[in-house]
Amino acid sequence: MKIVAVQPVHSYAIAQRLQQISGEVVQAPGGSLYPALHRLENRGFVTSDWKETETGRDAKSIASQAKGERIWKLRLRAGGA
Amino acid sequence: MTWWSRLWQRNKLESDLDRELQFHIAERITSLRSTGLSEDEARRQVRLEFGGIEQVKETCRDTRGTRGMEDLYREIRFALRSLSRTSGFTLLALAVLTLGIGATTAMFSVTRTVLLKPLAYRDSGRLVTILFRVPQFSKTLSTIPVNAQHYELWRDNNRTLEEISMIRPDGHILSGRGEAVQVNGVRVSPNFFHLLGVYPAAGRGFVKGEDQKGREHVVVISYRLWHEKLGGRSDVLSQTLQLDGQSYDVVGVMQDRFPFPRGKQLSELEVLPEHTDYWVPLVFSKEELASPDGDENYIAVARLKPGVTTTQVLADVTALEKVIAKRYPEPIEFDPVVRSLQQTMARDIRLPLLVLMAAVVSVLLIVCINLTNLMLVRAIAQRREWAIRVAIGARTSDLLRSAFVESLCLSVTGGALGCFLAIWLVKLIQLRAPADLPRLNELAVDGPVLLLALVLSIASAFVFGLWPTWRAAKVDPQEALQFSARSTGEGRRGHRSGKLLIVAEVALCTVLLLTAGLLMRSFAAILGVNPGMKVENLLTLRINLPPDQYKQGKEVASFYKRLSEQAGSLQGVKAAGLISDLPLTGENNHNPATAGDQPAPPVTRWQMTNYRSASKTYFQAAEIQLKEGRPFDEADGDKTEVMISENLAERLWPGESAVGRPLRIYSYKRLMTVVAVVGATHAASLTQQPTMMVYFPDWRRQDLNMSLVVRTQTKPESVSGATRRIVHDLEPVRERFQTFWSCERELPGNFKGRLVKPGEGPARSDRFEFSEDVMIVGDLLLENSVS
Repeated sequence: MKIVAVQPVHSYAIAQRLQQISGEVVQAPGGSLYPALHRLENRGFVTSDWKETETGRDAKSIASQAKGERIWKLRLRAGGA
Repeated sequence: MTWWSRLWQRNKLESDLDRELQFHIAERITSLRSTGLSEDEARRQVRLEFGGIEQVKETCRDTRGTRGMEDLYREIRFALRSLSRTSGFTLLALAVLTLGIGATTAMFSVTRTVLLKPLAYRDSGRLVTILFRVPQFSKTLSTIPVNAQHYELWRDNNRTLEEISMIRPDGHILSGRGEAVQVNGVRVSPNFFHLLGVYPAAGRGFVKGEDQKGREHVVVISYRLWHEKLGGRSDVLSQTLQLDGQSYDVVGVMQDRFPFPRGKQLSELEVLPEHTDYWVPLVFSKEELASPDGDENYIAVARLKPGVTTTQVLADVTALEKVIAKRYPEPIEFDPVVRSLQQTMARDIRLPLLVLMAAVVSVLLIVCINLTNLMLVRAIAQRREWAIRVAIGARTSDLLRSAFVESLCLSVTGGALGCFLAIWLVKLIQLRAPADLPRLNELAVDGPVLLLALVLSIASAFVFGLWPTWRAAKVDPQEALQFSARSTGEGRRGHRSGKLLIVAEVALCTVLLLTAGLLMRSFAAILGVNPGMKVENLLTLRINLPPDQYKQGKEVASFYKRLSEQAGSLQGVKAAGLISDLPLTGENNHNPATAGDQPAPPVTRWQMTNYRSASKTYFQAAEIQLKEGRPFDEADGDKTEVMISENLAERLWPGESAVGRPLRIYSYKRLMTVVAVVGATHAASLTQQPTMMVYFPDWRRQDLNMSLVVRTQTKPESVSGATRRIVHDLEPVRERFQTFWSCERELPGNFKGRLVKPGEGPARSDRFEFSEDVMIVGDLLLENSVS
């Protein structure tokens, strides 16, 4: 959520950021990232859209929603992430 | 996206998912290649990192939350495919399910409307009828109507009734509006509409005091009469109607299709009109009020006070009856009978309906058992397939679910088709049922009935779907796969359950056969009844003379004498005669009678007879056998001659000749003399015993309304034109044709008819219209089954 809260970004970039942040501890296996993203989307915390990237390909870009941000902030305060 | 849209946009979601993951993989490959790996190496690396792409997709799909529905949808498609592969079985199963569910639904609709649905009156559960029961007559008459004096006593002294009123059927000639016609209505106490809680759609009901002489010439008309005779005009409330020459002010018009009891629904003796045209206030004469017995001609309808039961009312009324009994030295014992209005109306039909319902439910159960058997066989054939499914990971519950879905598809489709069948059956019942089936026009396949159809469908799916599956699902995959397709044998356990099914089916079939047998037996009994007269080649005409033109008895007698003579001398006519009421048209004119040459027992032990007036040629024309004596003759001059039916003669003078003996009739002071004994006929219905009749000479009684009976040599239609002409020449009155069917039997309910919709059939400019073969009376199209 933190990654997305800053600005809309596509899913691969999220994976990369996660890897960076966690210092290679979280290998960001696609198997758990994508389901998680879908779950967030289904609950309405993020929305997705197809946009063209710099490389010319279409990518699904994830943007956070106000609802999602609120929950995230609450979670943060509660000590989760 | 909401859950709902995710359900419907599956394809789009799938392609999105694919693109998303492909994008990720492509990016990762690019970034790996930039570190120097080859294309193949990079791909392999990514695949290891990412995990199986299908697995990921599967997990993503799970997050959608629509899996349940998607699975179900898939199951249904699979079931439909599998059913269509075995189309023979499917069609057969659908056919029997349609029949079973359709018939049960239709019967339920009838039973519900007739027995369960509350009547269309205010708080109809609190409406009751109060009638009398005389034990001695209870073989032919379960109840008799009540008399005015008793009614007044109940009205003034009861503690359990909110309101009580009386009704009585009535008929008049309506003139002054086009052709004069016979209209039939009901006389009611002024508080009747208030009692029912239903008021005229226009105008008002009756008010207090309109049952007093001088104010009673007001009338409430039916919706149909308003349209037919008053042209549906909007100033109807300022109109008057001429009934039997008297002027009645129209004060109200009832709503369309106002449900009102008909025929014998309330009482076998006071027969209400098939369609009530009007309501007028009921006025009791002083004589009626003065006497505690006699003139039992009224049906009492009452409303219970809240919280009161019919038992309490019965006790109340019985106590009041005792008060009356004390007043008179020689009381007639009347047992009051208090029954809810709905029960009274349904009393004759209740048992047959329940029997039919049981029969139909048996049919449905037999259908289910048959289907279970079929499904069992099918399950065995599908064993191989299931074995494979089990081998790749299906659980028993999965197999059960898919078999259940298959059965459900079958039974719900069968149920839906069954509903259509039920609708058609209900229409058929409406057209073909006897006209006095209560609430015939309220029959409908509505909400609760359709709900039953649905419940039946689902329940039958459980019955024939789950059990065979459960049994056959206990397979060892290896064994089943090795099983050669040729062998479809079962183990010992299979035999036992198969036997159980057969036993159950035989039991149900027995029930069904017994029911059918019982019904056929009563039908056959009717077919075998001797009607007492020959009904072939018989033409009958009902004539109602207008009372204001035939005031003198002499005029009436003269008209009928000429009619009878002229009809009798027509070519093609063997004999013609007159009778006040034909057989099989209903009982009326009741009078107890007893032997005059013996001491008279109490009146309750006299024989209940119907009396009629007949011309001397009547018996010859009707071909009623003359057993003893000779017909009465005008030339004899004696005014006390009567002819009696043989069952009465046998009762009064068993084993002896009745001719010449004196007969005591209740309402006549003088003794009558029996001059002849004739064969017995049925006044009301072939299902009852022949009626005991006393025939008076027609010139003695001079009834205004008689039936002309003409025995023809060939087809009755050949002389009907000529006969009509005779009648018209003598008097241009409205007459009504009734043709007996050429078969020797007549089914109860007298006429076969079908309801015509407004606008259908020949134009109805008048109440009674006829051609030779077809007659429209009210809403019934009566077809002459001779042609």
